[in-house]
Amino acid sequence: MRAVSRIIALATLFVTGAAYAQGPSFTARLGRNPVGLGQAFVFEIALSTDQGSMDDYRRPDFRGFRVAGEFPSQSTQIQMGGGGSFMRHSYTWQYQLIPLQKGKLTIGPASVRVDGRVLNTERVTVAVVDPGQAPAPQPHQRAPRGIPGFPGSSFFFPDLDGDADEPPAQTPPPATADQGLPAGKRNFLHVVPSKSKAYVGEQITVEWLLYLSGSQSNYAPTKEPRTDGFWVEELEVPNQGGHLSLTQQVLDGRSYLVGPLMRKALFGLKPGKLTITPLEADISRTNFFGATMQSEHLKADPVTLEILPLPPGAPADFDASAVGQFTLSAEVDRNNVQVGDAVTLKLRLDGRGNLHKVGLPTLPRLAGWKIYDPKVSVQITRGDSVGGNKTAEYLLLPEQPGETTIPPFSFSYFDTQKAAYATERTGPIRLTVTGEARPQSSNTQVATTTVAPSGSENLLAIEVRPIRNRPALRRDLGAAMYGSPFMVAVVLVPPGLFALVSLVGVARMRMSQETEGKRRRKMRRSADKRLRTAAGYLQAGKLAPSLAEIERVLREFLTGKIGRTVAGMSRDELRAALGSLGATAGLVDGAVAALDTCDRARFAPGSITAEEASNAIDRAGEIIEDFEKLKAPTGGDA
Amino acid sequence: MSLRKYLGLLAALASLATAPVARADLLDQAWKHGNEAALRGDYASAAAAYEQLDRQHVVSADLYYNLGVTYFRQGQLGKSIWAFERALVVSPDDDDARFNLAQARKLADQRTHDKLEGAEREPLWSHIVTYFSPSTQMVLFCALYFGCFALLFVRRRIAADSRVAITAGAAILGVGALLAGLLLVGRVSLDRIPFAVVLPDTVAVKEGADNNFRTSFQVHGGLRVRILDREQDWARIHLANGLEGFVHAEDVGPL
Repeated sequence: MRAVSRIIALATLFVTGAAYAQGPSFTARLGRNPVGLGQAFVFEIALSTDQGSMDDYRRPDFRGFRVAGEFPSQSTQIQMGGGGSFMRHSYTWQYQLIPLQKGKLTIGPASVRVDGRVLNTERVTVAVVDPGQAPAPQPHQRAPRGIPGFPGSSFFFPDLDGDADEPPAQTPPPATADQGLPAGKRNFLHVVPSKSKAYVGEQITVEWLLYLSGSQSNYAPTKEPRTDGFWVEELEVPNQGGHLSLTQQVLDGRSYLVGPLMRKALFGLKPGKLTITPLEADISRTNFFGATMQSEHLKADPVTLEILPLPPGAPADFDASAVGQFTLSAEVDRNNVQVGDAVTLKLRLDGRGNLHKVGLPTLPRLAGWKIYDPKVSVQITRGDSVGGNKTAEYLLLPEQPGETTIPPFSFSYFDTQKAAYATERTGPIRLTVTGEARPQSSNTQVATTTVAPSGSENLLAIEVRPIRNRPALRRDLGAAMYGSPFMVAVVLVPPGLFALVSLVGVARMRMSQETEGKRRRKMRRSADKRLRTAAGYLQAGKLAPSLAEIERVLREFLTGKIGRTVAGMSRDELRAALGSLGATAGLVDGAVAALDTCDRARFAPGSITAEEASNAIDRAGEIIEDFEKLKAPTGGDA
Repeated sequence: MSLRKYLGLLAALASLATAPVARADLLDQAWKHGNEAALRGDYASAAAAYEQLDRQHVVSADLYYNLGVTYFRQGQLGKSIWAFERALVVSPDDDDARFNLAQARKLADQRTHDKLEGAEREPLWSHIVTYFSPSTQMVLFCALYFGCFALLFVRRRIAADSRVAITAGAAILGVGALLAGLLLVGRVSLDRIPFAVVLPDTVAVKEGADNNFRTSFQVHGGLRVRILDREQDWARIHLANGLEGFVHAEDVGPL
């Protein structure tokens, strides 16, 4: 019975402890300590609680400091999964303080009431020294930044991005998180690059965030961003059991659920301005039965990043992809060996940078040693920056006794923090080989295939054919076209073009028909004008010129209708030609008679009276009108 | 137009003309880097370089082939099979890829063999459609289709007595283009429910799109499946014998 009581007591203690661990925490933290007199620094009060409500917050007594800025923020962490949901609220009050006097200053406690309980922070002592004695703030020791993507955070807290006493940055300036953050939208995608400029080979972390004004059921990316010109390493994105990890943020007075969708580490491959195309995604809400109730297509903004060339003065052995911070080490598993016993040389490069692309220094030939191909392995850690190690393991087989020294390895790289080239060197490694010499191999560099003794079975394992080492990558453009928008264009363009050409043909035909009509109207106007001239001559008593004008009108008009000149035609030819236009015999006779009358007036002017001349004008007008009514002949009417 | 505008236009045209060349240089650089790493036995770096090219949406049988070899040498048989399958989709006549795929499948079967009871056979039309590569189908279709319309354009320009032969030629090319188009439509139809290959050595297939759902069954690297649907980070897969379930989308590589 006593044992059971102890177990119950222990269990109670454990449960109480666990419950206490989930209780509220209320802490105060300094951005750095000591600080220089008159130099701004950040002081942060943080409250973390499961309870949604808190009140009666009282800020500390900042006696001895000037408060240059105050920025409260609030966020809620929601973790969702099949086992239910868990919510934790975080409140932060950040103050930008400027010390007004030297010495040890004390910041008093802040207080807040949570669930009826009053919590206090501890007093914090700040050492204020001369500005020159204050250490420069270390980037990794800085106070936490404001709410990511929250506009104004860097405005209120300039020392979060760099103090006044901080030496000028040698690396390109970082991009601000709130660049291009859309305000007022209900749901949107926001892309945040860690910096807008970087050297070739230097890492830029780009994060895509989803902002939701309300809960959604589904999220599905529809178009991945293209990162042409970059070497890309995918970074881990925090999630909760396969679900988006959402936190609550307030932006422009509107509450959003914010979750990271994608993080990539990009390494520019050549200088210039490179653009990352937008991420596109669909979000939707479904009802109880799984049917989509509402969906929305979201598109992030494209991002243009400037890749700067590396400065001149690179060491001779510099590999252009060696950009970052690295350390090089080399070791052997033993320094004293017998002839025929293997020694393992491990060459290891640690650091931050594009380790996949960086090449390791190579081991030179060693007299009296057989060197096997190295086994190269890369271990990558994908936190905020890509780092890890790259190791080459050489198997060395001594063939002769004696002393050998493996010469130092050197590795040159561009240090992005110092913006300068640096070289890592290992020390020389001495090896002592004892025993009797063996016959020397003809090929001391590569000997990976062991020769089977005569009479034994040479077992060839399941292997594959080797890689294709073509000088240039052979791309399949046809397959790339398949499924692309070009495929649709291929289908649509020929019939579209054909239809366009046909339409143009029809349009041109219609336009040419209009030209014929115009030509006829013009001819008619000319004839009318000449007939009016003839009438004018008649009124003036000039019969011969009047009839000559009528003859000219008729000849020109008939020439135009027939398509060849009438002047040289006999009367029979003229009749035949006019008949071919579809004119009636009466009309043909009338036209020929009118021409004869005009001829008569020309050769015997006294034989025509004024009345006959007037009739001839009227008759010519009627003839022209009658011919106009005839249908135009097909072809030959130029 | 002012001189500055002319210069601006010229600069824009020059950048348009040089952009594909610059991209091709970058791709060739990554390709060489991958090859060099593979030849010195650094298969992890080689695979990383080839994966970079793959992310740039480069379609190349050689790239997929080399990727398959580097995965194989690293013991990642599922990914290796996937890469060789992709090489064969692009170039069905690739003997090297076919041989290596057989080798990788042989080795994978020595580890675990997924035997599908009552597996359905793929329909004949599917075999006909996949007999040709997408590239061949596109080139064939484009040649016949453009040829047909070219003859139709010529027909408009020539005298009426020569039109019969041209019309007959256009009709023959048109029928050919129709058949090639049907092949393309068949491929598009197949791709609506794309084939995929299981990538990790072992994958637990869940009854729903969440880790907390019950595991229905297991599949192993190299198995061919079809992707019916995607839900966030999950893919709903269909096996040849009719079984269905959910796996993480990254665990299946679409062909």
